[in-house]
Parts: sequence; structure tokens; C-alpha cells
Amino acid sequence: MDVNIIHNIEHEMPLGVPIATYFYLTGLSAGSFIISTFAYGFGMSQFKPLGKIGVVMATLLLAIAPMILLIDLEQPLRFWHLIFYFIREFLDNGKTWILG
Amino acid sequence: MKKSTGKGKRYAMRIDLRRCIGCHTCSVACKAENRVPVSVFRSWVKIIEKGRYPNITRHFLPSLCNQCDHPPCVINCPVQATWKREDGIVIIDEHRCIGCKYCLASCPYNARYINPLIPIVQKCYFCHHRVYAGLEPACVEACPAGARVFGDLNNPEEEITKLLSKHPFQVLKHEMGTHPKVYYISADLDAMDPFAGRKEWT
Repeated sequence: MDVNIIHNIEHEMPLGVPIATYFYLTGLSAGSFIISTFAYGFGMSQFKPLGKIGVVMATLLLAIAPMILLIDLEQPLRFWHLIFYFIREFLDNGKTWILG
Repeated sequence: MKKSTGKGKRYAMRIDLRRCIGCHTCSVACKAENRVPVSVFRSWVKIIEKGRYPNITRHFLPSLCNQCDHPPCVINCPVQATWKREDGIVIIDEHRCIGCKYCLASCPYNARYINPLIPIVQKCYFCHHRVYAGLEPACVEACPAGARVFGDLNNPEEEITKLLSKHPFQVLKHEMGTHPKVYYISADLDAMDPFAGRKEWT
């Protein structure tokens, strides 16, 4: 049977550029951290020049990446609701989360 | 209807597709009542066409938030900005919503939208400001064919309870386990199937 949709409303929820950038930056941060561990953790001397850059990049990108998730919110200034209401809910129901 | 306090109520809507004429009056009434901006809808009519010429039938499916008994949007909200009231209506606290769009992703009925003017999530809430005042929702009052009936399922005297006890009814996506409270009578199965007619899925 042929079925054709004449009219329908679909409210789309796009996973936009900010989310893709978030994954890209966290990946980059993890990569730089691995390169820095080559130099300082495993003692490979040929990675010494990259080691310092790796440490700085890993820390910087790890700080920037969550900011992009906040920008993706429609109301970025209300980000503190996440923490506040989580703590309030935990105080209310925390025992059941842990025990149950 | 009397002025309602919401205690001991279980609001539901029944949409009779034998009566629906696909006139979009419900969409317009909802837009006017709730000041829904352009490009988004709280209540809309899905229209499909079945068959090949000359044997074509057209089917309608008026859609709105199904006010589920087990709402996935409420479970997924990270700031508890949406919850189910004791009369069964799922509402949103617009001052608490941060616009993370998790509820849009989890709603199986596509009922939620981001308001383009004030960036928060909104949806149909059975016009609870009108229900509180003892009126019916705007779409129910506006329907010229009387296809929509709104009422309290806990009251055996109301029209909706009598109708639902007499007629077989369908709900959208019952396999999701959301227990929706918008009941359809003699809806077309292909109109209820979100994948029917979508060429990218076949």
C-alpha cells in the first residue's frame, strides 16, 4: 500500500556543531595527555620536546570542552540549576539511590 | 464543568477519528490560546494519503502531548523542571528549565519544542489554566465536529468515561510503556505509525 505523508510536524532536536566540537576537544585532550605521558611517564626521550606542550594542551582543552556543553544549553546562565537541583534531589532521595 | 482543584482527578482526552474532518481548527485554536510562535506547534494534525489513484483514502491524526502516566521526559530532565501533577497533567517550570533538550530527545511523540522567542522548552499541557477555571481545553472547545472529548477518567458520570468504556480505543506507541492518556477511536494504523510513508526509512 502506498502511503504518503501530506502534512506532519516534526520538532527536530539537532545534535549541533557544539556537541561535535565537545567530543573533538575531549579526544584532542586525551591524545595530548597520552603524548605527555610518553615523555614523562614512560621516559621516552624522543618525545621530550612534545611533553610540555602535551601537558598544557591537555589541561587547557579539558577546561574548555565543558564550556562548550554549557554554550549548547538554550539558557547557559542557568547552568547552576544542574548542581543546585541535583544536590537538593540527592538530599531528598539520596538514601534510596544508594540503598536501592 | 465545575471549577476544578485537581484533587483525585485523572484528565484524559479522547479523539474520535470517525468524526475528524482534518480542518486544523485545533491547531489554530491552540496557537491563539497559548500564543505559540510561528514554526512550532503544540497541537497539530498529521495527514496521510493511502493507495493509488483512483482508490485513494485520506486519514487524519490530530496529535498533541499524550500526558503519559510514565513520562520519559520527566525521568530524563536533569533539573526536575518538568513533572506530572496529581491530576495527570505533565507541566514544565519555565523558570527552572535550562534548555538542555534532553526531553525533546526522549519524547516518543515529538510533542515538545524549543520556543524560538524565549529559549525554553514548551509543550501542550491540556490548557490547565482553562481546566482550572472549569473550562475545556481550547482545541476541544473549538473542534467543529465534536471529535475531541476531554474529561476526568475517575468520574464515571463524565462523557469520556462512558465513551471509553463502550468503544474500543487505540493509543500511540503503546509498546513504549508510557501509558498515554490521549485515546484515539478508529485511528488509521498507518497514520499512527511514525515510519509509514517516510521514504528514507524504507
